[in-house]
Amino acid sequence: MSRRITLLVPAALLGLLALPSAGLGVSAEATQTEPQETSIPWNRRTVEHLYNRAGFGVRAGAAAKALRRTPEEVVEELLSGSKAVEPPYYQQGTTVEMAAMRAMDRSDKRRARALWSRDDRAQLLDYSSWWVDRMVRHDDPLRDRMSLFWHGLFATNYQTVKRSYDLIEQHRLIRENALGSYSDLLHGIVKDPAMIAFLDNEKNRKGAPNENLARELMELFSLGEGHYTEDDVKEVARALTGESRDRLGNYVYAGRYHDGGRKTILGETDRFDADGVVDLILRQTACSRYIAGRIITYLEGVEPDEVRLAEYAAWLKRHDYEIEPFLRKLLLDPRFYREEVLAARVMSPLDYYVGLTRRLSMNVDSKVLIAAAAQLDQRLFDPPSVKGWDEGEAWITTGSLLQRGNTTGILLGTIDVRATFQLKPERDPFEVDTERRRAAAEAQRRGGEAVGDENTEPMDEAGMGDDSMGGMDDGSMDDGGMSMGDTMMRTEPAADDAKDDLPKEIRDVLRTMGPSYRPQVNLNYRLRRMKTKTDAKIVGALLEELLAIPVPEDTRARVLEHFRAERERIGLTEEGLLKNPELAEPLLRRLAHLILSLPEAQLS
Amino acid sequence: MATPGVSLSMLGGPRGENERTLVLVEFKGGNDGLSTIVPFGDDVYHQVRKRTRIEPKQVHRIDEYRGFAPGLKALSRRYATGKVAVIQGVGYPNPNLSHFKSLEIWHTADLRGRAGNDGWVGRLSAETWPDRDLPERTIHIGPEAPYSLASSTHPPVAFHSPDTYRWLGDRDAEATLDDGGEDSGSSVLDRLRGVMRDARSSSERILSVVRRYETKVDYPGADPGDALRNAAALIHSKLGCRVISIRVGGFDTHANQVFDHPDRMRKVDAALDAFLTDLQRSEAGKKTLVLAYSEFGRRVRENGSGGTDHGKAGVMFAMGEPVKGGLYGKYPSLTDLDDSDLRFNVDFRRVYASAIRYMGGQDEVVLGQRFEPLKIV
Repeated sequence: MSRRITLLVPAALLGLLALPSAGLGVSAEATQTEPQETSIPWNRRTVEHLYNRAGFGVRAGAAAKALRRTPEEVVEELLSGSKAVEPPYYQQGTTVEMAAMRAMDRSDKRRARALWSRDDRAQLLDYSSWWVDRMVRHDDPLRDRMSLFWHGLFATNYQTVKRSYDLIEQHRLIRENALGSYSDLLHGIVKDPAMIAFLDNEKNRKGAPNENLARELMELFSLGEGHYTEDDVKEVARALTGESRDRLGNYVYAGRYHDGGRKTILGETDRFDADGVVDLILRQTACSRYIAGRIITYLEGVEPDEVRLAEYAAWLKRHDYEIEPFLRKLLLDPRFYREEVLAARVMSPLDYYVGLTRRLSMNVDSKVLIAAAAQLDQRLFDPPSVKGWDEGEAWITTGSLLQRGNTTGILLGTIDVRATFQLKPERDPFEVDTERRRAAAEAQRRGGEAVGDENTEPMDEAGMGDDSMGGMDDGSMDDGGMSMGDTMMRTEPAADDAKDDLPKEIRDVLRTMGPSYRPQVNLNYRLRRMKTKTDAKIVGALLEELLAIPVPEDTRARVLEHFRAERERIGLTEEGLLKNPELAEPLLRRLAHLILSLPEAQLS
Repeated sequence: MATPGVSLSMLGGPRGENERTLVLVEFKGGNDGLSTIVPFGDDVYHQVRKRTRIEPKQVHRIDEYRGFAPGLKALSRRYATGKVAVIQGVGYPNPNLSHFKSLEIWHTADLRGRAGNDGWVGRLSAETWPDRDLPERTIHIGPEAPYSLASSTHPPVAFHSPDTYRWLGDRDAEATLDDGGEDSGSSVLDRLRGVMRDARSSSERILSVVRRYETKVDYPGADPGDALRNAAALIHSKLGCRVISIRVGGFDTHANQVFDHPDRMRKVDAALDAFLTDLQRSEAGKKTLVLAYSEFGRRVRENGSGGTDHGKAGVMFAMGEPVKGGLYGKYPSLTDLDDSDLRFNVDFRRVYASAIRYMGGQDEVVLGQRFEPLKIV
């Protein structure tokens, strides 16, 4: 098993093995025999656990390799990550178009706006897929894990901000400081153009305060509910007046709108401005408790007890809100590996899809994973509210549990979409786009309202409903009823759904895959290399490879029983199975689909 | 279980249930009561709402003081026929202006919010329909099931669209998914196994009902029309669903309220109108109580952004054939304020109490204390 897996460890990770780790003074080889030096129970289970939580999962073989190093070394490597990650560059450049647009008449403006909006969504999807790609490649996993955490904490959505550039810039702030200083993050976020737009702070002016940013700053970004009063909200809103954006979306401090008077906030009176308020907030014990609690709960999956929370909050404050030492302490804390925490966290949709892609070591376009997660309500840059996502068991409903398995079946090619949805034989399910395009073009000819879709990007039609764009809002609301749900990945049909059309959850994933998609996986080949010659070994190997946690014996027995019956049904012997790839591979993929649909597959 | 009829006699019949249904429609984000039931006859309204106010001539008048928002045309018509109750000044003591805390309070009917307790519908379900033979007694249609339905023993069924509400893999493999017992040694895994069992057992029944549903009633597409159409299908089928929840977003109107709010009103009005019409087609439909609520109302005085900030008392609607229409509660004073916000005069739990009684539950047990039920049914 491990032979093949070595191929999958990113080169960057291997290269970092030699990194000097502070205070260790022993080489990787020398520590092989000394894992008992730490009180962390260092075994396959805990190694996988560390990679599941600090990253996005690991193949069984890579876990075995990591086991030969100490926890300190592995954690140090996670904290260092790759320095070679190169974020893509995007032009801010919407200004020329905006100026030109002002001169246009109404219908041209609508058209131009819809086109602009479509391009803008495409840009955000491009950036999102870069990010998800990073998660799959895993060369800086802890940074990407923490970026996802901060993205949920400082939740900002595209529906409101409507400019990809601003969200990408915000994400850059988050990503760069993901393991850095929370203090920098908090100072940065109240001046972040996307956040200012999202929480209406450009409209928060002296004499006409808007409390939106003030409230969320305390409730969700720093102190937590119950640690401030309604008067504090009003006073903080005054302090945040003047933190604004210009028409291009750049941050500006608009001094003439700032309320420079004295404010009483959290019991202190001063002429607070934005930085002053943030510093005041950072001095509160409630702040360090809130942030420490949020990080621990996110990574462990359960809330810390009072003693532990107090300990970590004090540590965080003592280290000036530096996240790296905080994470080092947490990831090397034996309590991080306690029984209650291990294998007890329900994966988010992204965790689930990124994790299975990594464990299957399958090449899947990240846009497909994004579409799949979006269908389960985890839309990057579009969390459901400023509170971000509810993590853990809140992800699982009867519907979402079935949906996870179904999308996996599509990824593995084990679900025959055409047969399942009784599509007309002459109609290719992958050509829904063409139909839509024709309908949209037709609608455009008829009414001049719709904008034709020239390409097959999944957000094509979504741009149609977008009626406002930054400062260009002329207030018209006469769109086709899509202002609510339309987001980067949420697409609405341009024409009415035909009866035999595909359900949306599946349609978006299929569209994103495109007609050339084939599952790039060869389980038969993999298992032959592992020399698994019995049903039990095959089932055991796939369970270990594909799941983030060890399964209970009853599950193993049931899966084995099913697999054995399947094999016997196609008339092959245990020994003979893997020698018949044309029969074995479909069987193995169905087995993988079953395994990844199990309740156990939702846990990490 | 092959047909809805069979499943009904197997599962729905023997307990003498009255086939009543409760439908909960949540306006997410804090719906502005002043823009919903407009106090156009109050001079103060026109002073404090200079940018977001609605002209008296656009309002569908209830009396010389108040009327329905322009977008609520159908609801105002239904109000005139006595099938819509407008509950004014709804709230709870010590209002919390956080969306999340306030939603928790509405969802748990507990002023502490979530404190290890189940949601109020979850408690209603556990108390009133204790046998767990039908997971779809409580259903959420759409994404993000609200906490009101949460229950450690009676969790809800939730689905987006019926077409994918089943496992599409190998038929022969399906049973393997949920054969595991609830003794895996991991409590979370035990719960997930329970969800999988519920999913598999409910999906066949729900699919058979919802996918084949036909109605001449023309629902507006998308949000929230589709969800309400599916709700109607479930209600007519007499499958045994007792509480159906849907959510509608977009009510957090801190800015540009004058555009966004009317849009919401129109969409909600059209969808509810279709739904209420559709419900008339069966006895079960005529025994359906529809409640619309939001986590809070909004600030009396508008902010500087053409919007309104989080406020306190709001407005609720009760709709459907069983409803005794009319005005309930007092319109909160626009001058005697609770720290610049409307004072509540009807505790929302009084509405819950009457809904619980309507559903055959014991309101005191479910709510943990007695609230005088509002006589809306």
